[in-house]
Amino acid sequence: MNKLNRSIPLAFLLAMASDTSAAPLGGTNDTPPLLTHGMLAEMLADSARPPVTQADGGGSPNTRIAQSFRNQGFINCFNGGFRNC
Amino acid sequence: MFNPSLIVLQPTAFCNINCTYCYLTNRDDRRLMSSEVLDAVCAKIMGRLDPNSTATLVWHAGEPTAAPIGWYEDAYPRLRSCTPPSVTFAMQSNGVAIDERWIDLFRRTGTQVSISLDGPQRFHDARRLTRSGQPTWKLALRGLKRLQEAGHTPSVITVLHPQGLDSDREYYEFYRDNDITDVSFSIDEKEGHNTRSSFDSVAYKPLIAAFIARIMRAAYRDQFPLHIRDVERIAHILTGQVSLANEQVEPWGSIVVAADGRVSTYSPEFMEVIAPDYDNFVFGNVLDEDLDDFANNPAFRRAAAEIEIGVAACKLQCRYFAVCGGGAPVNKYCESHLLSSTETDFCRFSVQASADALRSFLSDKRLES
Repeated sequence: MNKLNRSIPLAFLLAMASDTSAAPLGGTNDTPPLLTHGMLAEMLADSARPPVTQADGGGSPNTRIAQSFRNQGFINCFNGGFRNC
Repeated sequence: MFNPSLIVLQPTAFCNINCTYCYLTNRDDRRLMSSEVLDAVCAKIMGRLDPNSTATLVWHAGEPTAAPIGWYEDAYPRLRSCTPPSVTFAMQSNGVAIDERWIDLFRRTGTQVSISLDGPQRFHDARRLTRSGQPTWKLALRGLKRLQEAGHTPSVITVLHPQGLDSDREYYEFYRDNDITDVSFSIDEKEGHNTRSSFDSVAYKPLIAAFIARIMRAAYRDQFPLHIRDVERIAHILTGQVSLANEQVEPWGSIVVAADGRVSTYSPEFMEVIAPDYDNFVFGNVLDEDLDDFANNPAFRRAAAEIEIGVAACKLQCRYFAVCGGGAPVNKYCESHLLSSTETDFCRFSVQASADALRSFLSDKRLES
């Protein structure tokens, strides 16, 4: 496996939050919503503070913190790979 | 204040391949940027940057690997000596000539590489051809693989094919299977030498948006971290993480220097446009003049005034202005010959389609199905 950038796309972080909230941007194809700077800031903050569900490694440099988002199918390990954590 | 975010240098206008949609007017011109031009770039452009500048210097052309490696061995020390340390060096390449020697250069110079790769082989090879008409997909993919195997994470630019918009699964699997995690989509724009686009109807906008959204859903379901730069840029604005910035409408927000020292600003593609009323958007030559001279050039002043009118009109009329900032002047000019105009195909198919794709993706409750 190549050493690739596995950071999570911001759109995916937002999707995690939107899974349990109302459609965030509304509008229809004919009448797109008025897009404004920062309109999704709250949603991002929501998705950025998921509950910690597992931590091991005792604070050593190899500590892994796995976090479970409200979207139950979506788990991320912040110390490394996006997949297969 | 001179604070460009993008500095484009063209080591040569020459390109070693011949894409059917190429907009480059001078892609047969084999001349190399001289050491005199490089030194003038140092003195008059790089030396004028803020010491904390985070600009990106991009080798672009033409095909930058058409210049010999030895040319870069001379150019990098010259530029490094006059460039703030926080400036990033990057190269946009077709990838066909990238071998171990180029990879070694990129490693030693910290150069980030982006490859032009139009997705699956059948779409790429339909239009990205050698000068003898041969396909280039295998060569470009070989360059990408070599970079990846050396530890680089090249990004990709994909020019969409209108017949590919129903083949989102094929595109997605191409990116996933080749570990491409950073991609930007564009269309074959009508500009410079390319006098028509294959996306010749506004009806393509929802199709492109749906194509991008379906790719995002597939990546999300697979937990494959595909960054679509056009979408990510909009997401960063909508979350308030970055301020709206459109360097294409800011005077000297971007600057392009051709191999012979000619200088332009606003959209980098202006260097390829024939427009006698604006001196072909060449606002001076770095060998003979400096930034103050460029800014006082009558053609520049006229272009600047008209671009400002166009941006103001965009702000009044366009519901996407908050994530766009006023479009791309080169597309305004090439589509309508009016810098003061508003919406273009670039707006519709790149900015608006990306915003609509993000909106569709975030509104979709079937992501887990």
